[in-house]
Amino acid sequence: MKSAARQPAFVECDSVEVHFGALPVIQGVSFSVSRGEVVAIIGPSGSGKTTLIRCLNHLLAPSAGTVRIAGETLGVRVGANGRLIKLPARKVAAQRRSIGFVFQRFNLFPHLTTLQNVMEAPVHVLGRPKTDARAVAEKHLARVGLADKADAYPRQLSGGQQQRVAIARALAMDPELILFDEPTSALDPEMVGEVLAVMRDLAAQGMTMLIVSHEMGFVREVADRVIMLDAGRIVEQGPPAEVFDRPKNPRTQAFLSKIL
Amino acid sequence: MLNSILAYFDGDVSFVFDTSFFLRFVFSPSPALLKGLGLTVAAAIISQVLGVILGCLLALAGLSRFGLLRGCNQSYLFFFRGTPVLVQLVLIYYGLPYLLGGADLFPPRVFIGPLWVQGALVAGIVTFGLHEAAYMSEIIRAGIQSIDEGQSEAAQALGMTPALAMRRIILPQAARVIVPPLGNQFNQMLKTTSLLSVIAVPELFRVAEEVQSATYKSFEVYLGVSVYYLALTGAWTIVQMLIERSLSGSRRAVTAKTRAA
Repeated sequence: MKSAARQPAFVECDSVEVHFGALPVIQGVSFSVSRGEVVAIIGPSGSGKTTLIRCLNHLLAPSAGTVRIAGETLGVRVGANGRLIKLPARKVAAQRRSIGFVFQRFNLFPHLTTLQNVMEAPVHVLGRPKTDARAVAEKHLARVGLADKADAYPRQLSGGQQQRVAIARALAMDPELILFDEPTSALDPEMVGEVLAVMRDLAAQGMTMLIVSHEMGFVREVADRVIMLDAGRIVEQGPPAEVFDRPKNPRTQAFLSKIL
Repeated sequence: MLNSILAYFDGDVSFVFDTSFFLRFVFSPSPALLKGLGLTVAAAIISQVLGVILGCLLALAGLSRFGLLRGCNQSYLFFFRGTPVLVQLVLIYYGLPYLLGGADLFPPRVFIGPLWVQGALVAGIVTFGLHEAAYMSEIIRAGIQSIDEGQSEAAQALGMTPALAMRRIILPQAARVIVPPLGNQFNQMLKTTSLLSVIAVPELFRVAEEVQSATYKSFEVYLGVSVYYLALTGAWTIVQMLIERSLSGSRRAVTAKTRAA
């Protein structure tokens, strides 16, 4: 584990709470992630993993608490009287540019080719010239091993290929952080490996990553730190070797004994 | 037998279908009738375009998170779907100038762009456009709502504003859902234009009525004008088929190409 004390926190999650109506889903979660760190969020289903990671790019606004990325609070600003004021949609959109997000169900744009999917945001969000964006998109498609699928439409690709395109699409925005929400949960078993291989490469190249995953072997190998979530709270966190081999919390022990 | 029954209802004149008059009416139309045909097509196209543009704005209002905008959408739909288009037409043509203090809103001739246009035609196009917008807004709203939530989330996660996501990601996909019912709406619009006859716009049906009142050949004229409307809607059906085929055809072509490769 890289020491969080020596490096300035890059992602700071401060007392985040999320309520769906009266139902508390996330209850006072605080943690931080340094640049270059790979953090995995694990926990039983319904523990709030997906809800939490959606707060980290403000796809979901926390009911209370704040998320700061590189010192900048997402979605809100502090008003004169110390109260939080919502930012306009344009500002929130700008904040999301440097945060990649990879969905469980890929969410590629079906009316665009693979190459167009990857070029879309650089051209229309960042205003890059098309020729430059194309070169960058081709580079990232090659990086995920799909250079030959540039002109294919998403429906012509396998699930694993679609997810790799989705990763290339996130990379094309040159993100400082990528959030993965169960990136392999919707895949057939034989396609999980190709997606994990791409993610392993990214981790090796120093990308800051937050990963919600059930692939414990992968988490153990790649993650610098594991956060165990249960009923909307962090019950344990630490290096994978520690959490997996000597879990302190009984809930972690129960969860791991079921899946390992 | 039929003739004698018709003759009874007609009084003393016995009814004989004037075939040569009918054929002349259909196959060698007068310049006025052709002009009327052109007017019908033009009015239908312009009204439909107006309806689609307004309908798009109305649909966005209906999907807005602001209650006020949704309320505007609801009241608009309540009025324009709840009253006959004929009533709306006379309400706008006769009523609107009155409401605006007797302003000459729809004079006999208005100068629009390079054209002199009859004011009544303008009133008609405005009415049909407003009426159509109510229906188009529901079609467009349903089209937008048919697109998976994940699409807009993916767009937002890439830093798109909601407006850009709508324009670049949602609407292009919704268009495929919207095109078939849009075709039906235009078919209806081609026929609705006949209502312009009541405010003296010389479109197809008005011209036909004038021929009828000059010749008293009612059946021949109305059957003839039906043939014209059938030709219009029939041609449109073919165009619509080609549009829908090209929308799904590009899909098949691509599939075939990658299979071959």
